[in-house]
Parts: sequence; C-alpha cells; structure tokens
Amino acid sequence: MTALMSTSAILSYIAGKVIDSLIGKGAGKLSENIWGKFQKDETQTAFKEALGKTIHRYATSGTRFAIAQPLLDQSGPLTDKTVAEELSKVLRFDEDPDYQVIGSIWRNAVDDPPQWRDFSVEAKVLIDFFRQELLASDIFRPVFDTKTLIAINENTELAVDVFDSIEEQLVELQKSMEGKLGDLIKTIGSASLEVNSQVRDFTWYIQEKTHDFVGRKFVIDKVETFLKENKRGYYILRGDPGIGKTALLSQLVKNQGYIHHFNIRSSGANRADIFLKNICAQIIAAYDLKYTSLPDRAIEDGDFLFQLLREASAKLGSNQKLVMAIDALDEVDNEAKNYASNLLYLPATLPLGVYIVATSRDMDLRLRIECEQENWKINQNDTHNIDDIRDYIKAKALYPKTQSYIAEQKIDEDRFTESLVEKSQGNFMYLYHVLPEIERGDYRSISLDALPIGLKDYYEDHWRRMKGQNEEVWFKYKLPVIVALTVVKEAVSLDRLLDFSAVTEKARIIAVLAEWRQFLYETQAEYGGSSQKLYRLYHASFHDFVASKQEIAEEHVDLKAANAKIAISLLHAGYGNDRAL
Amino acid sequence: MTELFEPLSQEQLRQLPVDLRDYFLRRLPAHLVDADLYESLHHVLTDLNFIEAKCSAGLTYELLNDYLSIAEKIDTGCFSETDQTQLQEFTQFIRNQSRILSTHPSLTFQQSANQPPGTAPSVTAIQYWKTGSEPRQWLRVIFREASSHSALISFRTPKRPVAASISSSGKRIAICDGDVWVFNIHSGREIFHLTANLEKSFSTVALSPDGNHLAVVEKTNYRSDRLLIWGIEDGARIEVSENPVTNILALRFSSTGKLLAVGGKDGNSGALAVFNIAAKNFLWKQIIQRTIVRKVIFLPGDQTTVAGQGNGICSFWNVATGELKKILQAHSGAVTDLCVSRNGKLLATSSQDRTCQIIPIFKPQDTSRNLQSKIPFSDEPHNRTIFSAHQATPSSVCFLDDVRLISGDVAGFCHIWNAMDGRLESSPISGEGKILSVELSGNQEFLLVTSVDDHMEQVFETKMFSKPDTSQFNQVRFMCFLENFIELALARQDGGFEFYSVKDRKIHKTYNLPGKTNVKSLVVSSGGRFILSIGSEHNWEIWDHETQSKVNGTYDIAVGNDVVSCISSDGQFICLFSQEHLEFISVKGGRQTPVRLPMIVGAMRFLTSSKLEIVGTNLSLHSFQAEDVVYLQAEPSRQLSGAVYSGPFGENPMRGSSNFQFAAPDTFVQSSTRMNGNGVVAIWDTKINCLGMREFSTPVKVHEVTLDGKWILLSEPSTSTCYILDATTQNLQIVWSYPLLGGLISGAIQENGELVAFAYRQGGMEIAQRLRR
Repeated sequence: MTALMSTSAILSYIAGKVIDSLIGKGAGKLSENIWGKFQKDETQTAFKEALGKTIHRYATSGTRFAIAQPLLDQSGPLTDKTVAEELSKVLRFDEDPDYQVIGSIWRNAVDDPPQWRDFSVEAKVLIDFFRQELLASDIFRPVFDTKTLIAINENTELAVDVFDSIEEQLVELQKSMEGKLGDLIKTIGSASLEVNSQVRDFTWYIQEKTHDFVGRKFVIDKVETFLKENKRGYYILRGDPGIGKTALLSQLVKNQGYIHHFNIRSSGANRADIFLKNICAQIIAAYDLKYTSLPDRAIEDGDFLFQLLREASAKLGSNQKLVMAIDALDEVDNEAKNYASNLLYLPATLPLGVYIVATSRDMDLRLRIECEQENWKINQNDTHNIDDIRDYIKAKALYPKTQSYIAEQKIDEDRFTESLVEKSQGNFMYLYHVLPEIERGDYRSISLDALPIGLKDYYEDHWRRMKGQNEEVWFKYKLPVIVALTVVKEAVSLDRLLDFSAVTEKARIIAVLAEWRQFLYETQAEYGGSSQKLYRLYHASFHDFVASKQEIAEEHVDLKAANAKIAISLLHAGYGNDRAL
Repeated sequence: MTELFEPLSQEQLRQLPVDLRDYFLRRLPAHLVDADLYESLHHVLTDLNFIEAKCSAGLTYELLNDYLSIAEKIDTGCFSETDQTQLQEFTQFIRNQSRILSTHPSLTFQQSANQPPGTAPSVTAIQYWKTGSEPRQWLRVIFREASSHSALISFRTPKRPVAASISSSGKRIAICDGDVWVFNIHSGREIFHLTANLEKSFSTVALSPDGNHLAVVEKTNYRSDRLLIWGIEDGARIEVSENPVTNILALRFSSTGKLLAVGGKDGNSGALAVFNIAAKNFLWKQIIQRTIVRKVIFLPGDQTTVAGQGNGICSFWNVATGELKKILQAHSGAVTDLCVSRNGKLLATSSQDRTCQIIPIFKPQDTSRNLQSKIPFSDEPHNRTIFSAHQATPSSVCFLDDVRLISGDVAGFCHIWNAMDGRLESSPISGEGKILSVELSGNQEFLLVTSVDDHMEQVFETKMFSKPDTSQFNQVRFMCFLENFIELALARQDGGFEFYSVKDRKIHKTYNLPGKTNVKSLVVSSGGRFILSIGSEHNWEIWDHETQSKVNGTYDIAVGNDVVSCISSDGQFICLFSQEHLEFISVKGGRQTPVRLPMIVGAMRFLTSSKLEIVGTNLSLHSFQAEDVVYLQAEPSRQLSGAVYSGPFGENPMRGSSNFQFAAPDTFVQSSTRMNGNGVVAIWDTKINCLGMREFSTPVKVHEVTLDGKWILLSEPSTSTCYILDATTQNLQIVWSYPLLGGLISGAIQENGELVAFAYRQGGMEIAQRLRR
C-alpha cells in the first residue's frame, strides 16, 4: 500500500509542479479563472492520469525500462523545476519544450546510460506521448482545439478503468522494473543500438496480461520441476483458448526474466523472421555474445539461432539455465511451410542448459524434437484450475459495484462465485470479459442465471444483443466493420477500417469500435511524425467465433468476401482506380 | 486479361499514406490468396515494380514467403497453365536473387531482364522496356557462357586454410585456417566456429560421417597438441583426457563414426593411435620408428587402419588390437595422401615422389573376406598403376568413382585419371594456389577441393565431371576490348590467344603457342593494334591485330612471379617491370641493361616511343603499412623524374597491395585496402592530387579505366559485385552495379563504356551491354 501511495504522491507532486509553472506563466486576468479550474479534483485527476499513462506507455515501449525508471523517482528528472517548466509548455502553446534541457537533466539521473541513447530524442518521445494522452482526455482536448487553457472542460465525467487505475498499473510496472524482467530489459537496453533495435518490446503486453494474475502454482511447479530434472528440453503447455496460457507465460517471464517471444496472429507478429530477430537479439544482449548486429542470415533459417544458443550455453555456469518462453505456437503463420524444418525454425535438439517453454492450443504442431520434452495440457476441469478461477472471481467480487450486483440479486458472495465458476467453464477469457461488465453495471437488470455459459456463448450473447438493436444498422455498418477487423492481418487504423469495411462514415466505425471495445486491442503507432491508434482483435478465440458464423447463412458472414473487399481496396489504392480491375 | 493490368506506379505508391503503403506491400498477396482472387494475384506477383517496391521496403524475405506460400495453390490448379508456369519461374527468380534484391532492390529490373531468355521474368522485363515503363538504364547480358565445371559453392576463409573435411552425408564441411569453421554445404551457413587466439590455434580437422562430430587439433606453443572432439548439434565437448600423440598430423573417423584414428609424431618417431568415441579412451597406440605418420584411413569394415608414412611406406594395422599386419613400400618419397576405393579392393596413394599409385590390396581371385586373419593383398609392383603427369607434388588423391581417380597438386592443378590404365583424362580444375586436398563425400555426391593461396574451398558436384566441359572460355586469364570496340582479345592460361567477335558471338581467330606456358600479363598498345603477352617461360610475344598475325616473340627475358608490361603504340618498344627491375626492349633488337627501380610498379604506359610513365607504390622498408603513391616518367636514357606522395589516404593507412590503372592523360586510378578492411578507389593526377575518391566497406579491385578517363570498372570480391563508376564525379558515383556469377579473373570495359566483359575464375565468360533511353 505504501508503494501505491508513493507512486500516486509522486504523480501529484510532478503534476503540482507543472501546474504551478503553468499558472505562474499565465497572463493576467485569465490566471484566476484557470487557477480555479485546476483546483478541481477532476482536472487534477485527469492531468495526473495523463501523466501516469505517459510514463507507463513510455516505459513499456522500445526496451526503455532502464532509462524510464528515474521518471517515477522522487528526485527524478520530472520533479526537477526546470523540467516542469518545459513540460508546461505543452499546454502553453507559445513555444516548444526544450528537449535538450530535459534530455541532459534526464541523462544525469540515469545510472550508466547507453552511449547511443540520445536523451533529447527520448525527451521528445516522452513529451509527444504526454501531448497525446492529454489530447485523449475529454477535459484537456478542448485546450488543444482552441489553444487556450481557459477551454479546460472541468465538468466532464471521468472514464476510469474499473479494475485497474493508472496508479495501480504504475506500481505493478515498478515491481517489474525492480524484478528479473526489469533486469533483462535493462540488459537489452544497454546492448548495442543495432542489437537493441531488433528486440520487440513486449513489456506492455506482459503487464497487460498479468495485472491481476492469480495462482497457477500447479502449472508453475510443473515447469520448474521439468527445468530441474532435465539438462535441457522443451516444455509445451497446451490448453483451450482462453484458459490463460498467455497470462501464465507472461507471469513466468515477469518473475524469471526469461528471454521471450509472443506470437500474436491478429497483430501480424507471428512469422519466423520476426521471432528470429527478436529472440536472437535478446540472446546476444542477455549473454553478452560478441555480435554487434544481426547478420542477414539470422532470419533465413534456424542455424544462426542455434549457433547463438550454443555460444550462450557454453557461457552458462553449472546451475544456470537459458530459458526461452514462446507463446502461442498455434498462432504462428506457417503458410510458407517448409516441412523439413520446425515452425519458427525451432531446433530439434537444444544445447545443454537451454530450455524452451512454449504454449499452444491442443493441436498437432508437427514439431520434430529430438531431446528431452514434456507436453502438458491444462484441463479446464482440473481442480487446480477451478481453484484459480474461484480465487480470481473472489477477488473481483469485492469491488463495490459487483457487491451491489450481488446484493441486488439477493445472493451471497459464495453463491455468486460458484455460479460464475460454473458459467466460466474454467475459462479466464470469459471472466476477463464478464467481470468488468458486472462492475460497470451492464448486467444490472439481468439475473445471474441468465448470464452466458462459456466463452463462446458469451461472444454469442454480445453478438445477438448488438445485432438485436437494429438489424439494418447491423448489416449495413456494424457487421462489415467486425468482419474487416476479423480478417485484417495486423492492427489497423481507423482510416484503414474505413477503406477495408467500405463503411464510409467515420462516426459509424467509431461507434462500432466503442461497442466492441472489450474484444479489441488498441495500440499506438507513429506514422510520418503523427501518432495513430491501431485496432486489432484482443483474442484469437474471437476470430474463430466470427469464422464459425460463416456456416449460418442468415448471419451473412463471408470472410472470403471480406478479404476480397480488402484486396480490391488495396489494388485500387496501389494500382489506381481505373487499372485495378 | 494481361493488358488490363499496368505495372505499379512508384509515384502513386509514394503518395499513399505510410500505413496504407506498408499494408499494401506487406499484406496484399495474402489477402488475394484468402479471397481466391488468383488472377489479380498472378498480376501482382509478376509485376516487377511491385517486387522492387516490396524489396525496397526491406520486405524481401516476406516477398519470398508470398511466392513460397502459393506453391501449394499452384499445384491445385487455381491458376491457368500459363500463369502457373510464369509464377513458378518468378518463384525461382526471387529465390535465386533474394540476396541481391534485398541489398540492391533497384536491380530488380536488370536481374529480371537477364534471366534465361523466354522465362517469365525475362519476358516481362523486356516488355516493360519496350513499352517504356522502365526509364532507368541497365546492363543487359548479351553473352553468357558459364563453365559446367563451376563450383556448387565456394568458401573463402580469412587466413590460409590448413585443412578441410567433408562429411560423408555431404551435408557439412569443416575448414581450418587457424580457426575452425563448420558450414552447411547447401546453404553456405556457418554453423560452428572455434576461434584461435594468441595462445592457441587449430590445425588438422575431421568430420564424422554424419557430420555431427568434429575432431580438431589444438596447437599451443608450450605443450603438446590437444585433441578436441565436439558435438556439432549440441555444442558439447567429448573429454579426451590423455593424448598419446605429441604432434598430431592426421585424423580420420571410421565409417561408423565410432572410432577416430590419430596419426602424427612423437619426438623422432611416428605415432598412431585409435580413439573410441563412446568410451572416451584410446584403444591403443603404436610407435613407428624413424618416420612420421602423415595420413590415416580406415579400410571398409573398420577392422583395418592404414597409415601413410613419411618414408613412403603404407602400414596396415588391426583396429581392435593395434597389431601390425603388413607393410608396403609404396613410394620413394613421403606419402602425402591415402584413399581406398568403395569396394575396398584398391588403395590409392599420392607422394612427394610426384606420382600417384593405385595398389590392389586384394588379389582379384581371392574371395576371402576375413580381414582378421590376413591381408591377402598383392604388392608385386607390376600390379600397381602409376600416375605420373604431375609437375609438382600431388598433395591429395581420391577415387571419383569406380573407374576414375582425381588428384590435386601443390602447383594448383587437379587431374582426373583413368584408374585402370593410368591415362590422364582431363585437368578440369585449376586453383590459383596450391591444392591442399581433394576429398569426396561418402555419398559420392560432392567433391571438396581446398586450395591454399587464394584461401578457397570449393565444393563441386561430382556428377558434373561425368560430362566434358563444353565452355570454350575455361582458360581465359586476361581479356581486353580492342580498337574496333566489338572485339575482345582473350589470353588463355596455356599461352594460347583468341580473338572473339562480340558482334558474331564467336571466336574467329585462335593462336596456339608451341610448348606449355602460362600467361602472366597481357597488354594492348594505345590505339589497340599491338598486343603484348608475357609468358611464364621467360617468353614474350607480340601480335599485330591488323594483320592478325604474330609479329615477334622471343625467350630470354627475366620475369618473376609478377610482371607489369607495356607496349608502344607503334609496336616497336616494350617495357617490362619484374623483380624490382625495369627493362626497355626495342623489338627490332637492342636491349638495355635493366635498371633497378625501388618501388612496386602498378601500371606503365608509353607516352611516346621513347618515354613512358610509371605509377606504383614505394617499397617501404620501415613500415609495411604506409604505401606512398609514386609517379615517374622514364626514358631509355634512364632519366627518372616524378612525384612521390606520402600517406595518400590520411589517417587510416593502407595494407596489402594496390592496383593501378592509367586513365585519361595525366591521371590514374588506384584501388587499395585500408587497415580497417575498407576498400578505397581514388583518382590521382601526376602531381598526386586527388581528383576523386570513394570508399567501400570491403576490399575492391580496379580492373580497367577507359582511356578517356570517364568510366572505371571495379569489382568487390566479397559481395561478387561489379561496379562501373563515373570517374568524372568527385565521389566517383556508381553508375551501374552488376552481381557477378562468381570470382572474377579478368574484367574489361569497352572504350565508350557501352560494353563490359567478365572472365570467371571457375571458367566461363559474360558480356553485357549498357542500355538506356
């Protein structure tokens, strides 16, 4: 609890300094008015939230853990008066912040900063993030529209995440930073620029996947036993979609600082070359191998990876292990099948001391493994799994609105918990969706018994409700957007959804994105200097659900046609309207 | 439907939002597949502009994936038959060229156009050119004849190789040049590397038949050799606690890979031992007095091991007991290599006595297979076949198949012999340096040839030796374009001489020289009428191109290994530089005493019949790093005058030797290598002012500069790329780049820069023409 206090306090402290600086510079009569607005809780909270999100986003992207750490220090660069002064310029619009000033103060606060890091560039990245986060808050957006502080809209209701505030996330993040994952990311951050730039930063993803992780001791024990009893080998965890494989692997990575890669089909990050680049760069950095960059051949086949593993293996002490955590082998794009080699070019044998812990759905992966290996399936009805599900529900049942739901339903917490255990069918993805909805009050008028059973049924339920609102709107606007999101091969922007769904009104698409928010994953990407929000499906099981709709004629789901729509739109864009067809 | 589809417009693509452009390049083919839009897919994947755009975006690997992932669709009949063939040809093209396309995407069009005529990439490119949709200039191959004896793959090591080994499986080779490297033969990928340091280095290597175990010898200055055995797959080392052989010279795995024979010397005696891999111990060790063991092999069945000794003897040993079974006086000089035929009946040996022999080790009528009891071979000399055409010591020998033997010698020649009658069949391979070893993979598919001086290991497919090499251009050592611009002069390694007409695409005149000789230098007079060739046997010849006849020739000039020569435009005077001495010769008679010139001459040319200019580098006695560029003018009256420039490239000194070529009047071009390994090319005037310079990340060699000084032909061996530079620009802009087929032995550029020609080390020749709008 102290940690939470202090993070929150530091955010307030920084926010206070920036606001002071803003007011101090504010001109004459406006100051009074603005002062009043900043005194309001809503304004302060929104400001703090933007600041917190900025730091969180910065720290979890691009292996910046090490240099981000001082940002949350009491005596870090952000609490510096000069820096606060520069930060305040974001809302003053009279001049740009001086990135060099911020950068040099920042650099001094970092222990042993990598030579190649340009802190004035980092300062610009941080401040761009800050600007974007302020712009995303309803309270500050008008300020940017009018370029005056007086436009602060302090009367807006704050939309805060129900289960995890930004302060909580930052506390979690700090824990990670101080743990083994932090050590790994810091080591990678101090590798050469060329190696570092090949590493994909999954910190954000790991944080997101583990923020209310429970139990799983029974699985973790099994993995640990395997690592202890074998000199090398593959441990493959299998299980149905939504059972919590990714969360589990993320937790392992977070606790143990394993070298890691997550295959995510909907983001397009599921090909062998992406895997090889990321994993090879991590191995080079973590084991201080003598390479300063990745050779071209690194992504051509598994030979280079194998070579690195051998070199790293030779460096391991007697009790040291090199563990690679690889998520979702089933989501790997194996279209260019080369049956002579394993998917992702995983080696058939591993050097001594080298282990691969991987997850997959229960399917034939055609893996040729010629060393120690164990496959284990997490069964949804396994008592250990059910216990974990129960613990998860119990923790969430303590939240205020869930409590009132339980009260309204005239049941006790145990009855609530057991019903949900049954409804979830041992599936965490189900709970990931349903529990926040209960907390948000979406089920106020719906009895516990009427809740959907199992993940599929849950998807179906949502689908039916959305469709039921207005069938015409459904088929004309909503369905095309959902289907387009299902078939795109990586996260896409709003503009691309406009092209790919052939829905011409932006507002319609925004509405659909809002309605299906819980099934989507939102990322930010820089394109030509400006930041865009990108969207993709949150979980692979949703893709399967939509695909299964194709068998029902009256649903009018046709993924092939959706692909054709996208292909034709791309042909138009690239080849020109007259020439495409 | 083809006409409905225009190639992608790069301009239009540039105007798209960045994320859309990315998505378009990355994902369009996959969406077309998922949408079953095969016709459009065919258009996109046969669109050179799409290919180039995708490669330019750094997506070559993904592009290759696009092609490979439709391979299955091709088989299921989604495409029309024509489209199917075209896509297959494009797939082949992208696969072959992916390396080049990823580094030089702008060469997409040129590489495509130069695919075999009639194939889809070539047809498509030519169509683009004809319709005007390709505006850039390019290099079109107008003649290409590759040698059928070209290597499947070549490996070049940083230092001189000392040993190499090929696995029986034909999958891997191990090369030792102080370091040890193991490569995958098919992909060329490095899969294992042991690094030498100041204290230790590695010598002999052997790969187990399955290629999974590597035995190497670690040498240090302060103690006896250590035998190391590594598992390639898991990187684990097998402990060899004791080492009975102080100085290990030979290693060989048994056919099962379970035993390792170790030979060498112990003080003044030879030593032989057999190591059991599984048990990690030596079965036995034997001392052989007053000689050394240079090579060891196992006979089929692994029950007998044979040692080739320094005293010309082959000794046969029982593998299980270490008991000596038989000795055989094979040669009068040291045995350099041993090899046994596949049926185990014939033993082939090579020796310092310059012969190879085949010795039957079983009597033809003997049906006994019991090797335990006796070795019933016949050692009567009349049963042996002796091969004696090597001019130098044969260093290695092996059976190419049941009826042919291949041997390599230290002069760089490989001979193929008829094993039955000892007849020399052909001499298909000639390395630049000594041949260190020839070794066949156990599956008989691959032949490994290691040559020392050019640091090369070449792997050949044995099946190519079954047919005679038809290329006429396997012996070309020097080439240049002649006066009329469309004729090439080709000097052959054997001293012969040919005129090749580019227009008619054929050799229209051949001169063969009596006797054997190697051409050491070939130069053309300015104006191109006279051609001077210098041979290794102290001989020179002048050919008059106008009359197409030999006008002169004599034997008695002093030439060493390196010679630089020039001939005056009237063909009356020649000048040679060799072994630090400069010599003027009047062709009509009258020679002057050679004058010592304390420099390394890079190039010479006559300014008038009695005056010539010389460029080169100082012979620096104090430091081998600093190379000063020297320009001199010389007359027969022996007045030397000129300029010396010190430290031409600033702080980063040069290493190794430079190449020089004269360019326009009063300028010359130098290529050299910096200490950091960068290649540099520079143009100087005669006062040694730098007129232009360009740096490359690896060493480069200038081949020719056109006389008007406009074009420089340059090659970068490490990337097998040829560049043509515009010498009139300060930074020597690259005008064309062209990926070569292999190692270049000679390159020539035509006077107006329109044609270039390449002769390859492995044989074969290419001529390309520059096309532009």
